Amino acid sequence: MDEVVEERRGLAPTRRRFLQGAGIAGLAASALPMASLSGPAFAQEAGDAAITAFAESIELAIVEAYGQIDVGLLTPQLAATVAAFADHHREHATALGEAAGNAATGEANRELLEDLDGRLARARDEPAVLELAFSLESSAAATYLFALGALEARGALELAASVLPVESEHAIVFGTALERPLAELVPSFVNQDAAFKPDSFPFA
Amino acid sequence: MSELDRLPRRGLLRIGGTTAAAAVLLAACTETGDDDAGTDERQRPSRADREILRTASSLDELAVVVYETILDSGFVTTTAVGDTLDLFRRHHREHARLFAAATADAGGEPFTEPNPVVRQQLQPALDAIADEAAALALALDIERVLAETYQSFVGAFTDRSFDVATMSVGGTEARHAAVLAPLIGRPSAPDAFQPTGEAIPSGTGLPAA
Repeated sequence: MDEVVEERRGLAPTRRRFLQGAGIAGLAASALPMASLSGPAFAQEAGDAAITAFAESIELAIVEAYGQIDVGLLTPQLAATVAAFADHHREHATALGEAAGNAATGEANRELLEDLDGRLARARDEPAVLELAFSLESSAAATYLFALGALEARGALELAASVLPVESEHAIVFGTALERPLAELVPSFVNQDAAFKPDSFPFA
Repeated sequence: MSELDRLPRRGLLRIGGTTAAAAVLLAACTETGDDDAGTDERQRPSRADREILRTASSLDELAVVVYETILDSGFVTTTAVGDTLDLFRRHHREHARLFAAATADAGGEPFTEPNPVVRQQLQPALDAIADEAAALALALDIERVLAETYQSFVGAFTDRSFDVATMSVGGTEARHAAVLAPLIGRPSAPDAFQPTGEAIPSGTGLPAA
């Protein structure tokens, strides 16, 4: 049983990994007043700020990617869906930016957008657009589960937990339009396999 | 074979013969290499943690009962709908197992009965099912309530590792809702942020400790 307890404690390294790519070192010097630069409270606030700022950059990248989709390739209903979901992501970015405070960049994640460039260029018909959108939403949902293992402050945890289900719903909409098998769309448990991670997509 | 049984062997070896809850936690969390060996001290599970986990298992047990009642009612006549509801019933059974095992891991006694208070509240709706659309509406309602409930538990655990496990389930309940909603003409993703207005408080329906 002790081993189980220790494994569950293994979530702490997740926070370290998340922060390694999220610019936490620079944040410590610039984002918070000197009086708060010590003790566990600082570590919690600064770490959470870096994580939420990373999530903000991902949300803004998704907004930008959706803006680059040629909606003329889609049925009017799907085009409206893409627009509505882009609005959701914009709202997520706003909330995450506010939560990140001075750590927020207000910028889309450039590494992710560069990674998406080729896929956006190849999205020349409706199925290709849907595949791209399904992939983005699935990864976004996984990212919030990943973040939940790293965040510490209750407010940040609650924000991530309120976004994760919405990204999951988005994924279902696009996956259903693609006629993906139900068991593939809805696993018994959501996992982090497809998460965007700061070490793969570092942000400014 | 259940999803619990398909977890990576590496993960299972790392935890030996321990419970499904620990296995799912490992699957839900990222890999942890030796270079990550941490020193962070996490809080041990508290009584409140155990109460939340017991509440969660009681709610997923109730969802199993709801789906069984719907499927046995004879009102679900569309094959694809029946298959969907059957899959979701199996998911809820796995979720209940997870939460029961997590309760045991946290030093508590698993609650393996359908939540009696919520069941009593749902009974009139269950009794009133008269067609497939009504059955789907009830299924959608319970999925949304469960999704909101699990979201509401995040941040309340003393042992924060339960946040990930809880939302690995909560995310699936949201997906269930998103599949069911359009079948009765409702939107799959109605809000930018999932609310918690319908969440069931921890401890509801549980016997006094």
